[in-house]
Amino acid sequence: MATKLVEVKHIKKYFPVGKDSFLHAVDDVSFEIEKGEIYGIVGESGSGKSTIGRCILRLLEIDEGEVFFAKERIDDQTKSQMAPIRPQMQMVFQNPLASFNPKKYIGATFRELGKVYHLSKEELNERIINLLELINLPADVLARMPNQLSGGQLQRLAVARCLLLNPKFIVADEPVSALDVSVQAQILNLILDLRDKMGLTILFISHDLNVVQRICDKVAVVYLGTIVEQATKEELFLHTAHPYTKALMNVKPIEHPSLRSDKEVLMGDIPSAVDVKEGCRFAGRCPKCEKGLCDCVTPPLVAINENHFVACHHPL
Amino acid sequence: MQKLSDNIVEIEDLKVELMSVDGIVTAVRGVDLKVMRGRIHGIVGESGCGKSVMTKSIMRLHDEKKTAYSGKIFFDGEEITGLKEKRLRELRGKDIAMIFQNPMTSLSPIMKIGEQISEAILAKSDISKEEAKTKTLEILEMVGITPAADRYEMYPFELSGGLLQRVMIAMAMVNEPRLLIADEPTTALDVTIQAQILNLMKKMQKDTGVTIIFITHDLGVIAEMCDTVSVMYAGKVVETASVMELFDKPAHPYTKALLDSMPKGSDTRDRLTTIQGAPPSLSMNIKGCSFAPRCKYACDKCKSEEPKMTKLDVRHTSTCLFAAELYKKGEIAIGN
Repeated sequence: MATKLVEVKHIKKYFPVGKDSFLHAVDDVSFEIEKGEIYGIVGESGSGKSTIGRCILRLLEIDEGEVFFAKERIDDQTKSQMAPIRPQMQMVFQNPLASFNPKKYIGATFRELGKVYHLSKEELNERIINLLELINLPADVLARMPNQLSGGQLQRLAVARCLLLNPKFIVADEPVSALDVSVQAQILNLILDLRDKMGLTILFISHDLNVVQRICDKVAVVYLGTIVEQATKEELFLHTAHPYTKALMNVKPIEHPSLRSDKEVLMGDIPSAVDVKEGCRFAGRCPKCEKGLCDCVTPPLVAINENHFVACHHPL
Repeated sequence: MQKLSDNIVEIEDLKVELMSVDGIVTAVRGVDLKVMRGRIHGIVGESGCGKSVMTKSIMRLHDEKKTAYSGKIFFDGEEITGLKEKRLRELRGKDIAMIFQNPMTSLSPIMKIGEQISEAILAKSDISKEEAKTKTLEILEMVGITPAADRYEMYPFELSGGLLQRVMIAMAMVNEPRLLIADEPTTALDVTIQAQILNLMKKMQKDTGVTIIFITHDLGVIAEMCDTVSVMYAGKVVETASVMELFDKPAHPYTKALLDSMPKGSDTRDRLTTIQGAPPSLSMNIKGCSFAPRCKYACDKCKSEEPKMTKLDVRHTSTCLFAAELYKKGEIAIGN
């Protein structure tokens, strides 16, 4: 029986916009991540996928709900209670150049982290050497400035940096979106290594279904702050149940020109998440929308089978 | 008047040097390219491969004081490289139009979108303001910005990224150009919006017969959109082929490696295929084949000899010393 490492229960995060209005960035989201799995969150911009990741790490404070890490509730802990937990959960961001101090040598950035967490010089050096080996970069990168390195090298260093404190859990927020295809693969392989060789648990946030299908074990599809479908990868891609997931699959970049087809393309734009009303959030764009039901009653996330959940009144 | 040739654009041995703060960057290093009329010609390559610099040269959009061109660019028989600014101004926005990655930065934030399109019409023809407005409303309707009359009055900040890109397409197409250059037009958009824009561009191409040069880093978009593809690496076109040929029988190791490293959802192998290393800096001289340091097939000859273009088929060329072998066998025997 696998054990849960991260558990999120009914979390909500509303951002105030103007007077008496709120942007519903995350609205009643619940899921569990088991130890040693790569859990994917996929959605378009504005769907709240990054906010979910940040809420778990407490880079943002949630408004409602509960977050558990290693069976311990962490959303209500004080700063000092959080201190020993923080190194166990780390984050990799989309833009590697923006996540390194431009005026510091790479080595200094690493050493600073060691200092904050009171690692001895010997221990720190040993860890750095091991990590550089893992990410396959020579030791002289430590004497470089961030702008002297390529995006791929920096992103590998960003992964190494978050491993420095031996975390158990990593949130990777679009870690390959800013990279070229040829280096994308290097980072994705590294993330797979973290799971397979080091047993890490990873929350992988992405907008790219191909990438998610390639590396994730379980996937949640989010739309306007809510999970519309959640399943193991096989289930999701073989037995797609939510019309929005289906729409995403239809527009997934094709792998070969022979796969061109006149698939239905979703019309319209993602609506605003400000002051969302009752009803299915996808109703306005959904080809299967039933007036009087879908636009009035919010569908709950229900199980189709033990590995597959969907929030839809008319699942496919 | 001479007969129109099959190729709307012909580029011969184009080199473009840009003066930058860090010295001279040779962004384009001897490109030969023919773009067939009425087709969608994709240019694919990674960041910094020179694809944007090369296509901007067709409109001569670089700062002339800081740019040195050599080689020739022909647009419908007219040699662009030698043209006077006056003639270039006539061509730009009329015969050759361009759309960019970020529509928000291509539009004026303080002018109504309808007026911006009207302005583009009035700059290129002698019609009245009322006629221009009518024409604008028509094109807005055509690109799916409805209700056109309301949208005409809106400012860019009131529209989503997808709608703004439709405005850009409307503005580019309103003067019925012969050539449309689209530089990563969907890269900043979400996948569902990207699909809408790609469909719109395909439809406009079919309806008007315009030739499109489509620049992208995304092989998925290439597979979806293009008839012909040129792959660029380190300032050169390394391979040109029809889209089917390129995906089925790549004849350059770089193309093959790019195709292999595409994350494919259906792929069940343990790990993804990677390309080791990174592209070379374009401010330096490159000896031999520019891809050799990253190429798994590279031999000593590749490092010293610059590969020439090999013709594999009527419309399939590759600049690899072993192109013919790769094309025929799908592999190159290591150790030649």
